[in-house]
Amino acid sequence: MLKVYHIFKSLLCLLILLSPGWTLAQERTITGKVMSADDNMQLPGANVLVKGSSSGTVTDSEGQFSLAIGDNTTLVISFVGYVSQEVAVGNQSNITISLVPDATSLAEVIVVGYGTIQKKDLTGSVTNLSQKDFNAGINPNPLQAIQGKVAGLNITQPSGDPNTAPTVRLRGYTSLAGGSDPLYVVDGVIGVPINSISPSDIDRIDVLKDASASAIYGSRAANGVIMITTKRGKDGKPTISFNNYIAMENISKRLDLMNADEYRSEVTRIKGAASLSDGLKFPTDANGNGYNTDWMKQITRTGYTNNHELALAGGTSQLSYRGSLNYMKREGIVKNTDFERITGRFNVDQKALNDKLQIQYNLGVTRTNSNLTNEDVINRAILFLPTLPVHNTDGSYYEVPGSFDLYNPVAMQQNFKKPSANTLLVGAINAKYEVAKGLTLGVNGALQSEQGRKQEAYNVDTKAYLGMLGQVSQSYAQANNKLLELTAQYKTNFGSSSNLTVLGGYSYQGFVNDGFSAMNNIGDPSLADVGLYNLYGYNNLGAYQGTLIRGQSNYVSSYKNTSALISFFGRATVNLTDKYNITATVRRDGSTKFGANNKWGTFPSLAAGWTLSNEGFLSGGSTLNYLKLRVGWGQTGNAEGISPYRSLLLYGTPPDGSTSYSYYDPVSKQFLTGVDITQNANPNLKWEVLSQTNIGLDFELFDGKVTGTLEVYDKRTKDMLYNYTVPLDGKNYFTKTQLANVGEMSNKGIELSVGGDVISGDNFRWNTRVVGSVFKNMVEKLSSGDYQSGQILYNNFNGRGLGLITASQLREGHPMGEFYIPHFRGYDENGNIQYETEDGGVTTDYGSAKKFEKGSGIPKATVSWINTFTYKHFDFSFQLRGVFGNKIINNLRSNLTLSGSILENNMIRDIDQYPANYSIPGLSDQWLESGSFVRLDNWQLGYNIPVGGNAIKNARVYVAGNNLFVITAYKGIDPELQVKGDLGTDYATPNSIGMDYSNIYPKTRSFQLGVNLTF
Amino acid sequence: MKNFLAIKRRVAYASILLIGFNLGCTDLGETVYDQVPQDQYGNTEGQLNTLIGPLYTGLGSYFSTFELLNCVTDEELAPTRGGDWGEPEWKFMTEHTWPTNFYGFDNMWSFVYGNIAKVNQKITNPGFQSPEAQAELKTLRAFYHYVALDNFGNVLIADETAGATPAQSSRKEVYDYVEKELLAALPYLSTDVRAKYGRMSKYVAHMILAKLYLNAEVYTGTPQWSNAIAQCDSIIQSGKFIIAGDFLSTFSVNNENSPEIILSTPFDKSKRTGLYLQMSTLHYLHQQTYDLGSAPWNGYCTNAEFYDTFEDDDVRKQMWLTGQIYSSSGEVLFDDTQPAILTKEIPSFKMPAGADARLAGYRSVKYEVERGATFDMSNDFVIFRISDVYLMRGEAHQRLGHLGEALDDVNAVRTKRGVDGFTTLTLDDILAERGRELAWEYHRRQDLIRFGKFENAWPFKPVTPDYLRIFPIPQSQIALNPNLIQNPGYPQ
Repeated sequence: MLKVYHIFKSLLCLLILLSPGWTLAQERTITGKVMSADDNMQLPGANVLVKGSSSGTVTDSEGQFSLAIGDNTTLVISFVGYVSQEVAVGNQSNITISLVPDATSLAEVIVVGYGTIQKKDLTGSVTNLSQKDFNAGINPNPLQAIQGKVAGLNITQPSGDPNTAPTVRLRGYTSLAGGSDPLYVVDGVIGVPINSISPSDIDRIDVLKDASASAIYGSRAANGVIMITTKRGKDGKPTISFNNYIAMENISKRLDLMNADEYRSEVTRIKGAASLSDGLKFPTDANGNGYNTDWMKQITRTGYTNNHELALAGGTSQLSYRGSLNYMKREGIVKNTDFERITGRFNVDQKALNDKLQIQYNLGVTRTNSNLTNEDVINRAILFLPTLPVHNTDGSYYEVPGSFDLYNPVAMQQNFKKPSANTLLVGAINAKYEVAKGLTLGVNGALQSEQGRKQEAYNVDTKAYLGMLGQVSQSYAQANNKLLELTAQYKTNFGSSSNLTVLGGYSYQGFVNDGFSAMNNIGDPSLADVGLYNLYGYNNLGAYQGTLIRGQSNYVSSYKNTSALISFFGRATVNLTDKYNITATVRRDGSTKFGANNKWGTFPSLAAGWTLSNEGFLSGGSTLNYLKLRVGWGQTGNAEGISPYRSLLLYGTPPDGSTSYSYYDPVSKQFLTGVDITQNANPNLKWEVLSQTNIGLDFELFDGKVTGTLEVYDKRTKDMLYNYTVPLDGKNYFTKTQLANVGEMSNKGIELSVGGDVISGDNFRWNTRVVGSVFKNMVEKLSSGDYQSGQILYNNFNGRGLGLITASQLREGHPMGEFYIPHFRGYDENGNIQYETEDGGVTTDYGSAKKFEKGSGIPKATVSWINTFTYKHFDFSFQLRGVFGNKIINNLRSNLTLSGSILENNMIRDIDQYPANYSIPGLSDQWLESGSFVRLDNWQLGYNIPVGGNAIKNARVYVAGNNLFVITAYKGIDPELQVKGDLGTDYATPNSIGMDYSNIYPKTRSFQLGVNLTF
Repeated sequence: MKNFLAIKRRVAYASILLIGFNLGCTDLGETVYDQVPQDQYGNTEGQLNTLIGPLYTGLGSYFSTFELLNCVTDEELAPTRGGDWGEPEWKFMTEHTWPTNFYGFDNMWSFVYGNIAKVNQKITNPGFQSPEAQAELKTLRAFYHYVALDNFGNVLIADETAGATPAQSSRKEVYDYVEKELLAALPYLSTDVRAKYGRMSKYVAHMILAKLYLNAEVYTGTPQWSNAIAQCDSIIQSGKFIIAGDFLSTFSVNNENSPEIILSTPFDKSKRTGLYLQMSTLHYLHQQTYDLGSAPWNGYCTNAEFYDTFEDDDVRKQMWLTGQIYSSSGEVLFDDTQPAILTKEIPSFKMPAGADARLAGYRSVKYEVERGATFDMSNDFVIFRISDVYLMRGEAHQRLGHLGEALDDVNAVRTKRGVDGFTTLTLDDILAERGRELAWEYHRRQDLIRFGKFENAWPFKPVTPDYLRIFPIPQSQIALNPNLIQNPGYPQ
């Protein structure tokens, strides 16, 4: 305490000296108003300082100020985001000052963990975006709103399903089992589900890309941190915003399947005309005519989207607020699928105790309702024969009995329900109190509560669902967490333009998850005509009690687990003479989820910035106005993939919900439930460690017309988590695998973002920006001591009779997503695929084929070209996004060209390019295609209606759309495929990368019409 | 100064608050809610029962483990039917060209050693220290070691929980270990075969010993025929098991009351799943024959040569499904445009796509297929049964030249199966009789090896070298465990 005492003693002296009360007596008072030059709106909160003194004031809610001044006074007026202005007062008594927005944007504030920083002082790699940067078109969640906008942040939307969230990978692939998604921090609340935020509520998004920026978030920051700041009320009159759009979506591209006539003629060519006599597959109507059904058309529709938003904001200098309501309903193009969301958000800002106490209250409520499809419906719509009718004459669904592959997709669609609902509540209070000049204490408390419900029902009276026995289920899940953070920040200025900021803090976040589910089979096939599906569906699980006719131990199940993360963190920032910036951070995290031997981890970072353009040897140039070099290093952790209790030796019920622990008791002659060891213990279990070095160059050219950032990074994951294979020796290990920290993976990349106002006339403006990144991934190590990854085979290649054939294998020294497949050497006379062998010969035996590295499913480069044109009241924007260097295995094509199986399912028209006796599929580079593409992601044409009077402040109408066209050589439906790379639901193999399968929800093209009004 | 003191106080309060939180909220122990830490369970009789039961559920994987590997014999194969069943393992198992990284070997190894680890963990549990409990657990552990030595030869003896990874033992050492363990356990094992149904009774121990001795020449180079006879005698003379009059009743849906069964693993279609042989073998169209919940996979069948060893009067021939496939209401079913008739002959291992390929080979319904079965069946899978004991004893007598006793034992089985007894007997006759009696019960590989026929050619299999008599140590285990050396003949 003694030290603190001294610090405060000196501080207090400083305070007294600087206090206005001690300055010389004033001669007169000047009043004035500070406005924004671009829209003539008053600027509340702008600083007005007397140059060369410490006296000054801040503008009020109307932008007005009043200040006592002496003779020959010059005022310095500054406001964040605007160029500071100096005004010689002369003998004026009332002045109006218009501040010009800072085009260089260096004065912008960047949100970093537990604070903000001026962009010019930045040392780490952070990209910030505001609402105006968001993508046009339908953006159900914030990620789609920034797709293509941030170099190195690859956002992939692999399907048109309104309920599928995009895949986000920042700067490559760093983990298998540790978790691959970035950490989302919304208004200081850690871990808010990103899909719950309506993009229209967002003020800004800051993406912390490198370790020096994100290490303050410690063991959860390895995949980057995305900081979202929601809109808040401002001092001033209430404003009402009313934003609406409607949109329609259709399939952007269809598979080139055969129609009935084409199918019949191909069957005749391949199998002979006699095959057409099969009345089951080639039925005729009463007039003897065959049918022709387009099954994809049968299961799809035009999907309409409605989005409505109402926001109210206003306040005084002491209390401001913003409340908003947003409703979105998006119909999927596959029938019976949709997504509906209602969000309510209420943010309040309060100031008290002479503005020394600032409190932010945030309340957000999100309710989503989804109707999901059975993905197999899409697959079956591709496979089902075009020669079949939807219904029999009696109205029942047409089915082909005894066939293994043919199921009526319309019947499947109409006899399956899978709704889900989710409610998320996030409430937070963030208080900051300036205890003494420069010293601020903060408390941040938040509560997140999420409730989810899932329901599912299959009608047993459907051929495809016979084996499901009328399964009906409901499950409820709750996830609650509490966050408490205490911070202390001390900031002091020294010299004219130097300062020091020190931050220290403590954080506790406790998680409680629980839930239960119940399931029943209400469809004993012999009782199918009871029709329980239509009577009850999933709404009365007990309706058919006692018919637990399918072997599973999870008819009723529940779970509960808890975990906690406790952290201490600190940051010190030194900014010297606007030339040198140094930031050091450290976070120490302890988690209950880690093994007993490794509960705590320390995550440090250090970074420095050097503004070269402020040095004598570079300043004053007219081409290069600004140049800053940033170098940073840090370590972050990744452990979100570890669920609670994974380090312990536990007795429990089967993890897979099977009956594998239930046993026969010969005395009671009953099957009873047993208890068994569920996993191998690992007391050494801990976070993955990611070390990252980042070098960045920020520059401005041609008087700030062009701005840009170039960055290079090198990341290396150590202690990579995976369910490694362990030696089964009968003593130490009970199951084949153990979650352990073994492997290593590296990612290196370059990112560039450059652009600006190429043309900026009075009437016409063209802003253009190119954002691009390249990266290289490498799996460095997969085994150590007792642990071996074994053969991690993934990217399954599906085909008739193929079993486990995989196109990729994780191998040390090879990148993730690499295809490792045989080379195609044509067909033999029997229609068998021939592969190249080791000695250059050919074989028809897949097992003897030589495998080659044939490129990767992960793109080498991603580039976006973003353009905005403004002409008077019109504006037009579009974004082209290109993905280059990736390969795709067209597994859809390999299965839909198989002449030998033409009687089993429909095929594509290109079947005539393949031998008529080709009947056994095989994996080779025959199916490998380039996945490069350029897509017109989104476009928008808007008109700002000139509005006079005070009633309407702003009125805008626009038309917009997504996915207008794709330029690609890829023969499949769409080259943008899932590129997740993390572990799948089996927790053993990575999710597919660059595989085109038959059950992918079709992509869409959308058109949108919108209107925004502000009162 | 008042102001200053106030500030100082505020800072002090905040510091105390901060420190208070730090001390109070740094406990990182885990509270487990929906499972039980292993050291907090097993304290009551009831809890102990729930720990023993699952050890036998683990034994239930015997079916799935052996089902796959039985394709290395002459009684079962999965030919490539056009594009279906084209996976490489079906071909390399039939041709005896398996690689050391075949997942079937991994499955067998983890079946053995995963289960042994769980047994060892129970053997040290204070609740299982009675001689009876120890004997039962050690017999179960010996059974797994017997499976390991039969399939992999030179394996690990794992006789304690935790500790250093054991060194690899020779087949002879494992043989001695299993023999010693079982002989020590015998006095304490239960003779109540009803109360120990599906568990390690005294007769199961005798049976493992009988198998061990019968194959002793293969395992150690030294035959033990008399010891084998003695062990078989102990089972037969107990009078606890008799050859059933109705052959197929031993494999029926409710076969738990069969008098033949010495050891089985009980299954139930919903409460204990895992038996689905009908899915692997039946034709797609049999879905309509048996009103199944989903279409079967149309895989396993038998060779014409093997089928032809069954005489027409032999009731055991009824295990095969042949000829026309009908719906449950008796209608003739069609595959594409031709009547669906199963054919005995399999024209080639790789058949071009079409109905002929789908219909090739006869299928087994030895295990009764329950009408309306969804996927899993309720038949208990039989591991050891009494007719095997008669045939084993007969074989041992034959090999010792006790021809009369041998004839009696073999004919004791034959006469129950509706065929005439032999008047003279050769070892080949005994092997063929074992084939008919025990077809698809997963004893065939061991029998072929013991009779020296495993290297012979049979349909789709050429003559093969004799190092293939033991399977390779799984490549994945060798990679992980430096103590393991690959079996001779396989790539090191």
